[in-house]
Amino acid sequence: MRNAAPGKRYQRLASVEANSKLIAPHTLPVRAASSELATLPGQLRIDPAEQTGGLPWLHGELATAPAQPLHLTIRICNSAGIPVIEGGLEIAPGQRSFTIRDLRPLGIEAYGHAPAAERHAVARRVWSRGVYCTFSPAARPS
Amino acid sequence: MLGQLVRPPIYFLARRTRLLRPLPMNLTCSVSYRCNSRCLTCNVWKKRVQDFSLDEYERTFQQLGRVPFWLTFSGGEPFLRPDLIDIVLAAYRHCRPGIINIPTNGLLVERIISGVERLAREAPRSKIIINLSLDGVGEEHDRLRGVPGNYARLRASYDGLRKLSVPNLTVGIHSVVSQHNIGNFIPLREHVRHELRPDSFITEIAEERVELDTIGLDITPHPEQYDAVVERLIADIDAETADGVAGIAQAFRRHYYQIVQRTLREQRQVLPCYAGLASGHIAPNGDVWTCCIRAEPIGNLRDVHYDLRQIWSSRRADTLRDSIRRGECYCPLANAAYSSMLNDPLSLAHVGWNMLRGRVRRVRATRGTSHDTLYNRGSGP
Repeated sequence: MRNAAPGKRYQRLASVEANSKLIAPHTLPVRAASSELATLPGQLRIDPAEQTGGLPWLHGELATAPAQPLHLTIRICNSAGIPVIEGGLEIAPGQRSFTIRDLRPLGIEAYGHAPAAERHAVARRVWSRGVYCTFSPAARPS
Repeated sequence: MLGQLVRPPIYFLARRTRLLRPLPMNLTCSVSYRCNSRCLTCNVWKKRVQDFSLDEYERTFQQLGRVPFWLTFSGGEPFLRPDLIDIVLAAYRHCRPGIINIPTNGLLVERIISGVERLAREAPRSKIIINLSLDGVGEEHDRLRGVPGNYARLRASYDGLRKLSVPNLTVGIHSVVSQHNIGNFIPLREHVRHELRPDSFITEIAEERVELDTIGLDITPHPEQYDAVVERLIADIDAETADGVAGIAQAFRRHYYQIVQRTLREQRQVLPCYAGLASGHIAPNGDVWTCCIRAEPIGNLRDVHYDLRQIWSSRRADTLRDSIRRGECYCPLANAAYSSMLNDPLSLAHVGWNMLRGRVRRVRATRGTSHDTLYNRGSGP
């Protein structure tokens, strides 16, 4: 089994149980993408109790509240650095804490025809490969 | 063909300076996610999007012009599209590629044989490479591909293609090495080499790809397991006496296998990746990707009047190229790796060295010093 290989890069964020409940180590490391996003936290807290589309919500807190609104894209990457999940984040001026609720696996739109349970199962499988996340300015405000 | 020689330095400069955004010399078009196989190593058949129409491909290739030298038409199973050959011929008319490559599972026997014959005759200036996917021998192949009788139909397609009398056709076998078949790789290799004797035999390691929805599937073999496979493949290459173009292909292949080995072991981008520069991918719905491993859309051709240039020079494309250039991701994807090797001076030196070694072996063989190591194999790369 590939994931059984030694080394930090093979460590998973979470595994998936047969009953589909997430077992998480509760935090997701953040890799800084640029200096302009320096106020971002070093890690996000995973909240497996709250889920959207089979993926947990993520909570974080900025070091300082922004003076301007922030429109960010979060990407969760696997051990090979491949982004596998993404989502959006908007932070209002003066706001420090935030919650990311709209994570989705890349390419999941091709499962639009499938039942929600199947899409959620795909999402949980993909989530099991997440190792860290990055933030970048969103291409356009959502 | 000779014009292609000036392109690697341009891609090299583009990667180093970030000032240029040359269009890709190696372009893959996935014409549909639909597939009539149910492989243990792939979920692409579960995905559905609105596939590009023939007219949309025509417009795309028309705007692209004579840019791509290597065009691959993949899927899903590409031959499930009744208009596949028309799509490829549209590319031939507008782009005039040197090489057209179509991988297939071989299930639609009549359609494949008649389609390839028509393509080879109507695209005489392109080298047509048909790679049949074979992951096991007999019922083992059927089990891995999830289709009873698949092996028999693949053999029928293979035999039919081999009988075609067209000079620009190469018929190859492509095997995916995964957790599911690595234990049986040696019998598979023996079967291919000694019974099928294709023009080319290429293997690729099963990877977790966004495109194929295989993220989270335990399909990739351990590096230690794969080492044994690579050693055997390299020994095969070293034992052959291929000359000319076939010898060059073998030299590249030898280097590629070593790169895969190192990539798995070191878990980093061993070979500087030129995906997003020298190679690119168009998804069935017109999304453009730097590669099928990341499969992150940098734009959709439907939004830009089918003009790849607009997408290729976009800010989003630059962002992904920068990420790839920084080595933030790594993979052993064969298609991108071969383009990268062509543009990487160090790799070219390795390939040159491999060719020199091959030349020395051939000289020794002709002097009768190593007859016992030679395989009595058919021609081809």
